[in-house]
Amino acid sequence: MSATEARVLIIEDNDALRAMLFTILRHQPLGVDTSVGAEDALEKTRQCDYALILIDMSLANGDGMTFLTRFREERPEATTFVLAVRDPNSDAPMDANLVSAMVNKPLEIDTLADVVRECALVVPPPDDPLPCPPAESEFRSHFDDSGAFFN
Amino acid sequence: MPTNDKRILIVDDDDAIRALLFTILRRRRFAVDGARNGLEALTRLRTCVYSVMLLDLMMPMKSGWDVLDELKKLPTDARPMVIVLTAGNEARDLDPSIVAASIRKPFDVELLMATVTACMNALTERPQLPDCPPPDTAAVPAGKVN
Repeated sequence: MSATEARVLIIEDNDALRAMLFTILRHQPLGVDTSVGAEDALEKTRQCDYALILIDMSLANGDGMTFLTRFREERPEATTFVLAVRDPNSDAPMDANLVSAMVNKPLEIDTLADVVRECALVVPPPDDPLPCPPAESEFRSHFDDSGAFFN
Repeated sequence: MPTNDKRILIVDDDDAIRALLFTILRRRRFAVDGARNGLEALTRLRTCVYSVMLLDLMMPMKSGWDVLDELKKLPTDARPMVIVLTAGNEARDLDPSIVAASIRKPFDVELLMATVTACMNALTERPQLPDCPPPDTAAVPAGKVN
């Protein structure tokens, strides 16, 4: 993974869903990080310019909206594409200033992979990018399909 | 004394698809059971606790939709994580409280298996039901799928 390739942040507090999303996206030509909630995610966005943030709007304690509001306050210049994952039965309004697009649960694995890759790759990088630490997808293996495919 | 277990249920009426998924997951050392239709799946679900279920929708006897309806009756913590295998032309009204994700056929096998593996690694073991038999992966000789 090159440092110049698009970086994606997954914000999901459900361990299994986070692992699933991480695995789906690390198969794409992207640098992938994960967070379990707003504080952790905000800390990551202070260290790295993300092309795309995939956030579950059903995070506990309203963390989804907390993160989005504070992220826009802290990084108003960010060109990050924010893709919100939401329950289709939810009637909570989405602020277009906070969210770029929405996808409904349950997620279509193949469609999600395509959408995230294509969106992340067209987001322009910042003029003066932050010096990101290595992406989790570069060194993390415990979520993934470690070992040979047919081992 | 119940034992803890992490087990996968593959539900598909297509023998080849079921064999493919079963074989790969067995090689990855997962405990796997198979069901050829919704009726068999419901029987399995009454007997064993599953961590992950791969569920085809269009099946004879009882469909995947019927299985999802039955799953709704289970307590949330007793339900498996469900990944639906779709033909892509079904109505997009899967209940997100029951279904974690879906993937369209023909699916990318490597991506699907990586996804299932990640889910299994992230999920914790749960007490297995006392009358749950050994998984098909333990009982069926290599190369044979129920």
